[in-house]
Amino acid sequence: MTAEGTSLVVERVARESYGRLVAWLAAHCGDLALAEDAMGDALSAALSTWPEQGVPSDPQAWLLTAARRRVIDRVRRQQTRDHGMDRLRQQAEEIQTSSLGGGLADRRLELLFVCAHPEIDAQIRTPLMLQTVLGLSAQRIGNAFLLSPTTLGQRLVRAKRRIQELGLSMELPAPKELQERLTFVLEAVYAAFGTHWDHQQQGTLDREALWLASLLATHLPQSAEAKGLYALILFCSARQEARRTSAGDFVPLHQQDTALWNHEQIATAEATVRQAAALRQPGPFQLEAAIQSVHAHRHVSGQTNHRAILTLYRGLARMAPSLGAHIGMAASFQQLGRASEDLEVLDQLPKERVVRHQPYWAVRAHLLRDAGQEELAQAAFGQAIALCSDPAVQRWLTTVRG
Amino acid sequence: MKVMMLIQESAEDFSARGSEGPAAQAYWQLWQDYSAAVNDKVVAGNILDHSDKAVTIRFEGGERQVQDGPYADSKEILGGYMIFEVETMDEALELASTCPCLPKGALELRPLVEMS
Repeated sequence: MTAEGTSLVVERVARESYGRLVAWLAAHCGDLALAEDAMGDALSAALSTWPEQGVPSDPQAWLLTAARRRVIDRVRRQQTRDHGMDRLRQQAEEIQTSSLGGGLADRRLELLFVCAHPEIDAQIRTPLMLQTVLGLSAQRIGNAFLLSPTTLGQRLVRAKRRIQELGLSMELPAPKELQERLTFVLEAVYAAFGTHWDHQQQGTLDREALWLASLLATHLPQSAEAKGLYALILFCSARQEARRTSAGDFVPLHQQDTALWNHEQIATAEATVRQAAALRQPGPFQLEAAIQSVHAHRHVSGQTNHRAILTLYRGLARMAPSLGAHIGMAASFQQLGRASEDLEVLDQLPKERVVRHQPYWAVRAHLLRDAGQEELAQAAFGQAIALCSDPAVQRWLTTVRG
Repeated sequence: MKVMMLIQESAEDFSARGSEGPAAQAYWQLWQDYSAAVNDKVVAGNILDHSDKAVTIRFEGGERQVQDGPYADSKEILGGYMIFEVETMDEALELASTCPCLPKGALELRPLVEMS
């Protein structure tokens, strides 16, 4: 096989196995940074030996063996330098004796919960998950989250040190705590799926977020909100193809050609929403998924039920007040032709939080125009255009402003 | 902290500035919108004239040399700067992320040394 062909194989294996192996190693040696280093070494060893010796029959087992050896070496070196490190010795023994028979226990879920621990800085939870569970590079994560690679690198190192200091174990928390922590886990996964960077064709994190959400929904079958998040992300990514014309122009939701939506994904999303509802634990992600479900129904009925959407946004604003919920509410008022009520909703939002929030200005501009306040509308459009980092949306807003 | 944003513009953007017509108008409109949106964080800012008008002075081999044209001969042209008053570099990056020159040019962010 050519070096190029092999590197493709390594990439595929890395994609499929990285998080699984890192989670397993970290669970056994208790050191996330060490587990990642070891996996990195194993992958580069694979890149250098597989082109000559051929791809092993079980690439994942090969990588694990290589990474395990690396962990053991490191722990031993540490021991000779520092006698009496009982914990480290135990780890080395543990990792040496832990059997691989019957496949590899999947510890990725535990790893997600460690990354979203309340003691870990909320801002770094999502990047930490993307790096440790999916193996994304700091460069790529930095591009998406608008962070310099050095800054991000330092924060990731600090977070991993914190995990070490706190001695966080790779175990799922007890049911009560699991419920609390799950909110953080779901939020961090949702943060990876943002409109913020969906225009960066070269670096969409959407697929990764969808994958993490499906992992959570599958492994936590009793959590309605995990299903809610999975359904929400499915609905949104189902519209991917319809969001741009072939020329790359932005198409707003209400003008999208529903034939371009991925109906298989929508069907899965609908089924997931129903399963979630059957568990009778309402939550914000389920409400957001329900809103998307109403939008998706346009494919069948040819129209959008804005009254239903308004009711759902109202519920959302009550249950989990967020900028998004209030702006969504205002936008539905606009669709129903109740322009004065919608402006009221927007005026109540804290100024310092909306001043650089692009959707706020876009919705506000439309509302002001409907209310006949064209001069203010022009200024609001200007603000929305300036705060927009997606050139296609910017072009669209410029056209709408007129 | 104060952070300076050095605006490296593409030759294309630069030529859009001078010409009349819709392209130039659209170009300046974007800048006007952008300045309005970040205005509360800007302490200073200026637009530089075309680099054709630059004169560079330097010492080479112990001799003073005066040349027409910019110091660095690169694809991007230093087109202007803004100085932000921000809490962190993250905040400066966020302000810079919607700058209209970004689709074609590049931005360099440099913290200013605080003089006491």
